[in-house]
Amino acid sequence: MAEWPQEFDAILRRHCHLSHADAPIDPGALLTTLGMDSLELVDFIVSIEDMLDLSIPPELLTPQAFATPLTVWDMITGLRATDPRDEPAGQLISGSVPDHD
Amino acid sequence: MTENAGTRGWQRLESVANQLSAISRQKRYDVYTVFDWPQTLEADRYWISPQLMTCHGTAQWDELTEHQRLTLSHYEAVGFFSLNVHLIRELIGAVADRIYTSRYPMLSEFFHDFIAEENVHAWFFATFCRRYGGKIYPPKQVDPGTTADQGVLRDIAVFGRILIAEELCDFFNTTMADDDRLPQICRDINRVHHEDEARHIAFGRQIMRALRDEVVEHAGPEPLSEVGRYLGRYIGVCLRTFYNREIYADAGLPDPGRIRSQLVTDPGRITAHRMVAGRTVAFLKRTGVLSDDDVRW
Repeated sequence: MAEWPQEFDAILRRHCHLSHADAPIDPGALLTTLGMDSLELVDFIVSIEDMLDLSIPPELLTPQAFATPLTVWDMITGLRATDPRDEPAGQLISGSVPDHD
Repeated sequence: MTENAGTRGWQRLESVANQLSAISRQKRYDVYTVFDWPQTLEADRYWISPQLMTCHGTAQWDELTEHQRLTLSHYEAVGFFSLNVHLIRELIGAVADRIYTSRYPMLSEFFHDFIAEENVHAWFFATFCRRYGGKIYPPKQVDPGTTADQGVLRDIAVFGRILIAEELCDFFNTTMADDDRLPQICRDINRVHHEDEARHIAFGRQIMRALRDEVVEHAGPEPLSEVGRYLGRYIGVCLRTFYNREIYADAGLPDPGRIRSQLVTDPGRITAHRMVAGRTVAFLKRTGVLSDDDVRW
């Protein structure tokens, strides 16, 4: 059993197709062999973002990072270390919005 | 399924594709001059129709001030056009993979027109995003490939995805093309895109019928059901993609992650999803590709 929190384990189980609910997850198994196809991966990414409360930078959305549960967890650990919280961009090209309320 | 029915389907497809190519060449326009791009867009107007916004019809919408709604509409317009850019990148690649192949020799002329039109669509969507939003929102995607690996099953999944994406976007385009609450450039982009996409959707529906016949003939009904389940899930993924925590953060809304997770399961939004995708789901059910339980709303 790899050392990751229950929260991540629950997300993994929600998006993988395991033989039964309590089946052990091999940390080194390919996500595809755990039943996660490209569509499920989209929802998996969003679930991780909700867990972390941040957006995963596009440069980390790579096949290498999303190869196995362990590589995903390594990516999350690295992200948590840098903690790139969502910041408003403030880049809209428009005049100021009048506050009607 | 008889051999004749399958052959007639492909003959019909070729005829439709040739007609659509002819129309496409008659209606070709210079994308670099067709739009009048203002320096800035009015901040006190919606940039996307409010009824198409991801909060609409929920308690969250009721809690937003008019100022917040307007600001969110600006980022959601950039988000919607960003989605279009990424969908077009994917579909241009899929169609380019099939041009001048032995499987679709009679469709290569149409594929040229299709790719040419999609290329200009990507340009005007991206130009809007970069000019007024300062960026294109990135996709939440690692690998755009499909699960169906071989031949006809792969093709019906790929062309099914393209058709679904085009029809969902077209629902937005037709709504916004005539919405005089939006700046002129927003209406124009949606109108021009809708006019071109009508041809692509006509083609998409025709090729789905032909591929459906081919799947049933060569693989039987169970693989078709498998494709239906896959495309049903794809519809759900497409609809959920509109809920983007980065957009809520950019619009200055507090706790964007909570907003996203609440909205995506809000009963009011499920109703909206059924409206946006209703026409597409009805078509895929009529053709026998999709069944009632396939879509995860």
